[in-house]
Formats: sequence, structure tokens, C-alpha cells
Amino acid sequence: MIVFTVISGAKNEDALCYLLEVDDEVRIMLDCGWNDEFNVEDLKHLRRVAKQVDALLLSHPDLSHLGAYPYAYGHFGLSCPVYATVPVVHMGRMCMYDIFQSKTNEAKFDTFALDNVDAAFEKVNTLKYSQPMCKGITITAYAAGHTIGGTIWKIKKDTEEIVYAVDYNHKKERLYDGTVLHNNGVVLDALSRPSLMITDAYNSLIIHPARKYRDAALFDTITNTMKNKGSVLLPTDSSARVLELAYLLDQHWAFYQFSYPLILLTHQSYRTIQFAKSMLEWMSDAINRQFDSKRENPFEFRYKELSKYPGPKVVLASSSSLDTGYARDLLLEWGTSESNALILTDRGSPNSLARKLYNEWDRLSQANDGPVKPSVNLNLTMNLLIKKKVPLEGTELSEYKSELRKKQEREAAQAALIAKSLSIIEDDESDESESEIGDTDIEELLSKHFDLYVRDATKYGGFFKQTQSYLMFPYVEKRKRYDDYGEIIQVDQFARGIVDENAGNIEVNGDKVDMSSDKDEFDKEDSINTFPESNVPTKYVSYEQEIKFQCQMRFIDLEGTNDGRSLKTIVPQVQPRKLIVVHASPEATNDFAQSCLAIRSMTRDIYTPDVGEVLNVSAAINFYQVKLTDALVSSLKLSKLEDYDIAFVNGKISFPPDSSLPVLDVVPIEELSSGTHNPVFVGEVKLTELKRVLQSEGITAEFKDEGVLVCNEKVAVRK
Amino acid sequence: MTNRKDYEIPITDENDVLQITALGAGNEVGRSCLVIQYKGKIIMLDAGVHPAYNGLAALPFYDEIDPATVDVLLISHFHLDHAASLPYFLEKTTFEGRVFMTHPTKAIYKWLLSDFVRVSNVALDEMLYEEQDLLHSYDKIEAVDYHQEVEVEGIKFTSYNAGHVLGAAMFLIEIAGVKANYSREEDRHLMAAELPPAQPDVLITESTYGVQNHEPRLEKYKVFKYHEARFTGLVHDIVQRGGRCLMPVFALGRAQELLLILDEYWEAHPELESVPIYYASSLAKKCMAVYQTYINMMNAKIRKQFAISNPFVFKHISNLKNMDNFDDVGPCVMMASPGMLQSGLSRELFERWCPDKRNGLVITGYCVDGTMARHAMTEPPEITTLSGAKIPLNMSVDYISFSAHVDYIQNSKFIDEIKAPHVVLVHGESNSMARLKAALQSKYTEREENIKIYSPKNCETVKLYFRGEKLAKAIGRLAARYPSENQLVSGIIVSKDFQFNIMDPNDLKDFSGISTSAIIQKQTIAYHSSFSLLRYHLEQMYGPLEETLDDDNILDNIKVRHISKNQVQLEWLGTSMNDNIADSVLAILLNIESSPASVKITKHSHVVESSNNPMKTGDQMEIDMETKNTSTSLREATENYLRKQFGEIYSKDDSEDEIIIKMDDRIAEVNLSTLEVNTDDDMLRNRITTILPRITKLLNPLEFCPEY
Repeated sequence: MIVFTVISGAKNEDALCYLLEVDDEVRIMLDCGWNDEFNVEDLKHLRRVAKQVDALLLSHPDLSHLGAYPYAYGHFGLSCPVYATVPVVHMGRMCMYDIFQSKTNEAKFDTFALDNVDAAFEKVNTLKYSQPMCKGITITAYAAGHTIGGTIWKIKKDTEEIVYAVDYNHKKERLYDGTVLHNNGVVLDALSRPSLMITDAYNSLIIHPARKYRDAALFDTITNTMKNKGSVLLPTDSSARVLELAYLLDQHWAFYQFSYPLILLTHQSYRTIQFAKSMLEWMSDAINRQFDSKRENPFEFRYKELSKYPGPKVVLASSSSLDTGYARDLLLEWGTSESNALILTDRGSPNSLARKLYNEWDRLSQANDGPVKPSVNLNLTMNLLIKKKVPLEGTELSEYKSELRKKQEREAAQAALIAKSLSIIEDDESDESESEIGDTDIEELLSKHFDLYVRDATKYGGFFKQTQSYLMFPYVEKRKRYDDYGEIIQVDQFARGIVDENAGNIEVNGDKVDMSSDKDEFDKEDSINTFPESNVPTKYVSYEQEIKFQCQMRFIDLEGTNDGRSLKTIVPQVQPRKLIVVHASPEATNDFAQSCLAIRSMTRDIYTPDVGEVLNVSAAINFYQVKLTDALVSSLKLSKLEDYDIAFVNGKISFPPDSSLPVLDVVPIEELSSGTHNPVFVGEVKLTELKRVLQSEGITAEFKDEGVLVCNEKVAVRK
Repeated sequence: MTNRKDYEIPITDENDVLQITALGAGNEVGRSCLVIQYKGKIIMLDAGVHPAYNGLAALPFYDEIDPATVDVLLISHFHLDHAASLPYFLEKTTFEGRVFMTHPTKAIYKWLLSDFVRVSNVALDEMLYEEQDLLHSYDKIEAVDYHQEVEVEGIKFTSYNAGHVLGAAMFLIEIAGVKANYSREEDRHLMAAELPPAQPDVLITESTYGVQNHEPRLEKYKVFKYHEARFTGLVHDIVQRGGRCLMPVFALGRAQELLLILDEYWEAHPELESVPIYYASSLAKKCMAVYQTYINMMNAKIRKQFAISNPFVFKHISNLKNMDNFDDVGPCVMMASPGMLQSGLSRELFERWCPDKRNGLVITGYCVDGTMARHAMTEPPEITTLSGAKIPLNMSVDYISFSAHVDYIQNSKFIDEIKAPHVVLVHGESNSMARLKAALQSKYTEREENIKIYSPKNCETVKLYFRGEKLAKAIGRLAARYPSENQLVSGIIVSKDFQFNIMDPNDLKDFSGISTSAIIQKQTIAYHSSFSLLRYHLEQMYGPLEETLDDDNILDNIKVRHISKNQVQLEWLGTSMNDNIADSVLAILLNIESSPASVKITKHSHVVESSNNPMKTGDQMEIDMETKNTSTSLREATENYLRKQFGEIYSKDDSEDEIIIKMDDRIAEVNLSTLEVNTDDDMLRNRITTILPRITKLLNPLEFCPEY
């Protein structure tokens, strides 16, 4: 009994989230995505089911596959075991950090906190590819390509085999080998003929030009823009595709010895690259070979001295939607100049600025043909809501300061009291996880910059159970310890405060690191630097502004997934017995379903559910296990066919008392039914092969007309 | 069918025997190489060389097997005694199987072996392989990750972290349900070894240290801490007394762990900052990148540390490229390879430093008999240098069991935890192995556990008999209902990689992907009479016919179609039964065609017909097919048969159904309706019971197989 429910992302291009119920007992959630608007309203379906989920599988380390997980973990009680590959965990966390910092840079953002992210990802059980995870149901991850650690999931229970394959890429890229699902035109045995396949049709209507054209187009645009003293912006995600792009560009730079700076600008770029360096075993054979033979880690980026970036440059910045993050800041800065260029590498999520720009480009470049459509000169005026964090100035600043001072005094007094009472309890009470701290607390802390001491106390309080009864009895004598120099200071208490404060500040201001992976800070004069110094009090502002985009723009599909053509080749080869199509616009969904139906050997059970729709997709295959006796096995006349040994079997069931399984034994000769079985011809028939055999038997055999083999001029054999 | 009885006695199948042959490391340390054979699959584990020998003599006994038959070769870790003959085996033998090792092993393998090729001081013609072979072999190796389940033609294996060195793996191998675990188990610092989740049937494990166990009985972790404290204390003492501390180590493996410890210790003791630590190995430098990269394969502590900074970027340790750069003044700590002071840098420094009593030698690894390190451990008054001179040995010599090999407690604990009914010991000198075997055996006898322990010598084969249960899965429409006692199951059995599925022929494509096909036969013959005549004839022969819309006659499975005025086409699905019927139809057709006059004399045609039918034998000529199969005619026929078989038969007077068979002087009573046989003679009864069903089968009308 298999029931499939769409929570999000079907017949549209929204984030992915599906629920699979196996035999009424286990509910497996497939992905848990969100978009970078973080509109809690989007998750209303998820909220309903979150508590009942028994396992969550994450397939790619990007927002649309795992964005909602930390929030659901913190707010909806989605506390089931989560399974993902090692890179998905690391990179997923980077992705959430990055987006969190982007959001906090432009507005007060309290949908979820970094603690949620940490706590949520701590919970994930990591798996390797083809490591079976067995708990009644077997869950296995297979390489999907597309992103580091990207996964195709196979869920197996008895005879039900469900393959969940979204955003896979069968083509080999620089960093990733193609998916194992379809390798060299062969479908992996373990994944073929599943009883149910869930796949996306995101690109059903799109055909990718060959990679060399796309690469050429990319470098072409970059080089041309550079020559015209312009800068190039490549919006990208912060953790997944960025690695491939960065490596691609870095290789190119190294090869042509470009002197233009190449900058990776995400909040977590340094750590992202560090993690990437330690996960080579998840990348392609070619990368590993290079590492083994030359000891060259692909992420030892070679560009240094980038503390100042005058003149033309190429920047890879997050996020790809252009709705937030450095990419948006840069676009607003550069988009108005004709010499600069914007290269989109994916289409962006629906309703994002990136998608709007893509549509505009699509409209403008339609007239042209050629493998990759050329760049166009954008001439577009848009009203955009601009959100910023700006330092406080003048009276505002002084007001803030006095306010802060008052508050500090107040809080210090209060905190001292609390601290006093708490430090006594300290020894008895067990620690609680940091996630206990309310989100708003952290948010306040991050944005308002409390005094170190105050914060420490507040935070410290969060570790322990603060029951009402304690608040009512604050006058407990504090145990003090002394040494030769007086009262012992609990160093770590202070140390943590300092560390946290620093960490908080750095994160708020963004971890700006260039590709050289040394931590040069951006120059203050640089266009990027619209952000305040760490310790300057800030406020959020937002205003509407009319932006006139005049830059060059080009879309080059480097998102690294299958295209329509490959999709329509691979899925029929997998031969699922049932197929569910998700994550695509209604047109694309339809197109894909139709083209599948057009294939005769394909199953008729193709479903295109809507959001919220519940599908019963049980394959209902009966089966039971029997034990074979030795006599039966040795009486089989096995014949070999490809990898199989097959034979007719006639057996008699018996239930011996010492075994739970029925036993299949040879049928006594007397009971053999008089009828014989019909012959079954197995295997592919090849007429050419037949011809060869016939000829060796002395029968003339010749092909006449189309596919008719005429033997001895009398018998015609036709397939 | 008659010889089916022979099969019913279970045969001790050669395939049910699991054979483990030690081609190397059987009662010795070095040149690990084992071969497991089961169900026609052959797996080789490790391909090492013996460190004490050179050239071909160092190889495992590859002559014992045919390399071409080996399906899979698994390398547990990169040490020379486990991997160094791999290029030879891949490039100089007929081996064509697949080779697997973990990512770090593969990354280090190439560098380590190219070093091995360079430093092995043998004559050119004695070289096992050259750099070129090494490069070729490298390309054939497939890298796997821990916990990744790999399946090669029915052989399933999973590698688990074995501790020991970076990338060291133990393999859990499964062939047709029988699991064997090949391991070298150790749990230290860098990599935490794990217990495989499944209980294997066979455990193959090392016994390097036998029952040697002079450390206090402490928790694993505490043992390690104890070692660590002793080690750092020792080093501290030596440098404090102004001495030079020499640590002969293997270039890779334990050395990295010692470096981590020293780096940490130096960090914690600022007073030592002026004392340099050297790591004299260019090879190790190249391989440090591997350690810096495969962090995810190490233990949780290191992974956590990595989140802050890479622990393998050392702060206090400098790499020494060659001795020219070495300024030998004052105290220092020197780690140098090779690990047993056989030759090279460590030997050179040892000879230079050994007369000074301030200096110290710290041996941290296992030393093979006959090496200088082993000799030095006996603290002789003087030693012989490589050049033959004799010099006094004054430096302190200490041995800390930092070796990554297991000692008795750990080993027996591991064996306990694994709980395999068969334990095969390898990789140990014969004395210590015998002692370990005896110790384990007495332990298990005491506990009355049935655990068998083997320690094969080189080229000796351990044979274990497994009769794996053969399970089959009945799926699809065949399994629509759960079977009941004595139900007959008939279908197609499909076996792949030792898994059996029984299914209906129609499900074949769905469940196994095997395409099925059918032969449709068509034959067109000239026919000039009327179609209704043909129909009449056929109905006479086969009973009522079915007629389809386009004027076809369907005779069960045979379509007879009057395609034009003078032509009739037969179409049928090719099965042995249908072919026969088609033949008979054809005969009728030809008969009508040849004598249209015979229309009314139907009886003739049928007589001719039955003689044409190969199913009927000459004996049946008299049987009139026209008459209904009444019991009398059946009985007559049966009697005829029995008479042919046994000679005289008589009807029993008082019963219609019973007859008496008299053969020679034996008598049997047979009830023809129940097929009961009543006789004193077993032989006769057997014969009659065998023959009776066949007679019945022959005489009853043919059953047509349903069309599919």
C-alpha cells in the first residue's frame, strides 16, 4: 500500500516536498524545500503533516530541497530521523547560513535562527552512496550528479521499489560524474524497473545545447565584457552549483592566465570551499585522479591579493534568485551600466527577479538562433523594493546609545540576580541544548548588540531549566570558590561570550572571501561595502526605487540537470511500472506525460498530481517466500540467459513443522499432471543470428525486403 | 524422468564448500594474500610482499591459483605487506577481475609503491614491476567508500572502518547468504574501527601479537591515553637531557598519529618550542594532503576539529627533505623511515647517534624478526653497521606498543563481539599464532561455545561446509494466494546472483526484464473443396469449432482461414502440442484435397489421422477415436497395455474394475478405477505403479494448453 501526497512542488516549479506513505505505517518525506522569500504561509501543508513524518530524505544541498527543514524542525516538530549524504549535510548547512545572513543583512529576519539550523543538521544521519539503510524499509542513496552529494533515493519494502529521482544529471561534469541511474546508456540494475518512479519534468520543454557551446558562450561573454572594462556578475546558489561554476572558471583562469580578479562572494565562501576540499571522494573520478597523481586539490584556488578590486572583475555571488544576498546588491550597483554584464546560469525560481529578467531576455533574444542565444542589452525599468541595513547616524545614533546604556544598566542588574541564582543550580541541573533558547532572543541579540555581560547572562540562563519555582526563590547563597588571587573567575563563561559576540558580528557582516581562500576582507571603498562596521549600531530601511537595468544580459544554462531530450530517453529506459511527474510547470508536466504515453513499452500509469493531491499508487504485487529443497534445486535444468539462469519449475508445497516458511519440494512422479507446460521463448530474437545458425545447418537463408528472412526459398521468417 | 530418483539424494555439492587458502601470511607476518572460493566465485584479499625477501621470493604463492579465475580482489590498506604485489598481480598475470580499495588507500598506494620501486635495492631483472606497471595498475583500481555496498556478479561486499591506518578497511563479504569478514581490527585515535552490523559466518583476522599483552587491563581509550602519556613523557625526557630522539617509523600510517600527538604536546608545552621535530620523509609530505583531505573517514573528534581548523596542518613539525638540510646540533625529535631500521635514513641516523648515551631510540611499531630494530630491542652492547664496523650501543632503547596491530585482549574481544562460528587466523608468526589459537580455544571450550579456530599455513586450504538455505520468492500472479499444503507450484524459476524468483511466464518481463517471444506459424495450402466440407471434417475430428467474425475457424489454438477461393491458411502459436494438432489438421486438409469423395466415409480419414499422429503408438491402432472414451474401451486398452507389459492378465470375477496380473509366479491385483495395486511383491508393485499412470495419461484425451 503506497500513498503519495504532494505537499509542495507539483504542476508548478515551487520548492519540492512530498510525502510517501508505505503500508499505512511509515511516512517518508521526500525533500523539504522552501524559497528565499521564507513565507511561512507556503508551509501550511507541511505544518499539517510534519509531526507524523517518520523519516525525511534530503536529496540536494540547496534551498528548494532542504530550505524548510530547519524551520520545520524548530517550529513544526519535524523531529524524525533525517537521512542525507555527508555533503548534503555540510553544504546544506552552509546554504542555510548564507541565506540567513543575506536575509538579516536587509531586514529583520526572525523566521528561523541559526541555532535552528545547527540543531536541525546535527540530527541528520549521514549515508554513503549505495549504503543500504535498513529498518524494515531499505533506503539507499545513489549518486544523482547535479550537486555534490546529490542523491537519487531508492526506497524498498518487500516487492515495492520506489525510486525518487529529481534534478539528476546524466552528463559528466567537471566536478561530478553523471548520475549512476543512467551511465553510458545503461540503467543501473538496482534502479531499473522500480514499481514506482517519482521524477521531475522541470526541463521537459528545454533542450540544452552541447556543453562546449555553453562553455564557449560563457567565456565569450566574460572576455568581451572584460575587454570593455565592464564587470560580470554570475548569480549562483551558495553551496551546490557554485562549486562547479567556481571550478570551471578557475580552470579557465588558470589556463589563460587571466589577470582579472575572480571573486566568490557568498557569506560562507571560505567554509564552503574548506568543506569542498575535504569531500573529494564525492566528486568525479577525474578530480580524484588528479588529486591522487598530482596532489592538487581542485579547490586550492590560486588567486591571491584580492583585497582591492578595481576595474573589471568577475563575481560569483549568491543567491541565484537575485532577490537577496550579494548578488542583488551587485546587480543594483552594476545593472545600470551598459558595460557590465549579468550572466544567469539558471532560470531562477518563479516570481523571482532572476526569472523576470530571464523572461525579458527570452523575449529579446528570441529572434536569434544558434546553439546558445546571444546576450542582449537590457533596457528595463523596474520598481524594486530595496531593503538595507544602514548604520545609525546623528541623533538616531546618540539616542540609540543612551537607550542602550540605560538598558544595559537595567539588564545588568537583573542579569546579575539571575546569574547569581543560576550559578548555584548549575551543578545540579543538566544542560539543555542551545536550541532551547528562544529565537527572538537570539534575533534580538544579533541585531541589537547587547553588552557582552548582559548577553552572557541571558544566554547562560538558556542552558538551564528555568522553572517558576526558582524565580520565586532567588535568594540562594552563591557558592564561591577562592584561590590565592581571590574569587575564581569562570573563564569559559566569559570566553564563550566573547566568541559568540565576535562570531555574531562576523556573520552579520558577511564572510567575504575571495577565491584565493585567504580571508582578505573587502576594501571599504569597494562597491560591495554598503555594510556597516561590525560594532556600529544599525537599522533596517526599505524603500522603493526605480532601477533602470541597462547591462548586458545573457542566459547560459549551467544548472547541470537533464534536459527534455535526455529526460525522455532516460525515464522510459528505467521502465518504471508507475510514474509520478512532479516539479514542473503545467505545460512541461503535460508535455512529459504525453511523450511518455507515446512510447508503447511505457507504463500507462502516469500520474501528474496537483499540490495537495493524494495518490494511491500501490503496485500490489503478491509474493511469498518458499524454501527450496536440494532435490528440487538439483533437478532444475537451468539455462543461461544474459545474467540470468532460468528454468521451469514444478514443485509441491509442504509445511514442515520445524520451519516457518513453506517448503517447495519435487513433485512425486505419480502426481505430475499429464499436461506439459507451454514453451516460453526468452530473450531478444535476432534474425541475423538465426540466419547464421540456419546457414551453418545447411539451409540457405537470405534477407529479402525489410526484415524478412527467406529460407530455402520456401519459408519466410519475419519478426 | 526416470532418473529423477537419483537426484533426490542430496549431493554434497562441491559448491557448498567454502575454501579459504592462504597464499601468504599463513603462519607468518608479511605478504598478506588470501583466496576465498565459494559457489564458483573466487575472491582474493590483499596482495602484499614479504618485507624480508626480495624479488619474486617476496611474492605470495600465486602459482597456487589461476589468476584468471579470480573475480574480485580487495585491498584492505596501503601497507606494503598488503598491497605491494598488486601491480605485479594486475600487470604480470592473467588476472582480469575487478580491484577495489578505499579512496585514501588508492590515493596513497601510488606514491607509496613508486617509492617502493625506487628504494628496493634489487637487480633490474629481479624487479617485480616497474613504474610503468604501477601507473597502469592504478587505472584499474576502483575506489569505494566505507559502508558502500558493492555487488559484483553475486559477490556483495561492504567495507568498514578498520582503524589501523587511514583508509584501512575490513571487508564483509557475502556470497549466496554466507558472510565472511576479513579484518584487521584496531581502535585507536585517528580512525575508530567499527563492528560490522551483521554477524558473519567466518571471521578471518590477524594474530600478529598472539597473546602478547603486557599492558595493564584498561579500557581501550585509557590504554591509548596511557600509551600516549608514556610516549610523550619518554620523548620529553630524552630531549630534556639534551639527547636526540630517533623514532623509526613507516612513512605512513601510525606516523601521522604520532605527529598529531607530538604537535599537540608541543603546543601544550611552550618550553619545548626550541626543540625541533623533524619528519624526514618526502613521501610522507606528499601524502599529507591525503590526510588533510579525507577528514570524513576519521573519527568524530578529528571531524569536529576540522570544523575549526585542519588538524593536519601542523604547527611544530618541519619536514626534512634530505640530510644535507639537517643541522645536527643539540636535541631534536626525528621521525624517519624505514620503520625497522633495515636501511636508509633511519639506519643512518641510528648508527650516527647510537654511541651517545644521551640519545634515545623509541620504537613504536612492530618489528619483524631479523631486522635491526628487533635486534636493538634486545639491547646488545654493540651493533654492526651497514658497512660492517662494530660500534657500541649506548643510546637508550625503548619500545612502546604503539603499533596499530591488535594485542590479545583487543583481538579476543573483537572475536567475541563478532561471534563468528569459524575463525581463521592469519598474519602472525607461527609461535604466537599457535599460542593465540590455544588461548582462544581453551576460552571457548570453557564457555562451551562452538567456535572453531583455524590457522592455515601458506598454501593450506581451510574447507568449511555451508549448506546455505535456498530461498525463493514466488511473486506476481503465481503468488496470488498463499500456498496450502500439497499445492503444486509450477512456473519459471529465474536465478540471478544466487537469488531465486519463481513466477508465471507472463510475469517474466515485468519482474525480471527478460523479454519473451512467441513463434506464430502460418502455412498456406491449396484447397479446392468448400469450406463447409472442411468444417464438417474438422468437427468430426475435434468436436464443435468456434467461429470468429471474419469467417475463421478456430480450433482451440489453430486458426483456419479460407483466404481465397483456392487457398486455406493455418495459423497457430508454436508449441509442441499445437504443432501436433496443426499437423493433424493439415493431414485432414490434404486428405480432403486428395480424395474429395471421402466426404462421407469419415471413419477412414480418422484412422489415417491417428496413424499420422506421432503421439499415438502402434498399439493404439485399434482404438477407435470416434467412440466416446467410455470406461469399457479404456479398460480394454489398459488391459491391452498391461498384457503387453506383463503377459497374462485376468479379470477378476467378482469385481468389474479389478484385474489380476500374473507374471511368472507373482500375482498382483489391480483396481483399475482407483489404480490401487495389491501384491506381496514390491518389485512388481513398483513396476505397476509406475506404468499405470502413464497408461492413463496416454489413453485420456489430450489436454490443450490454454493460450497466452
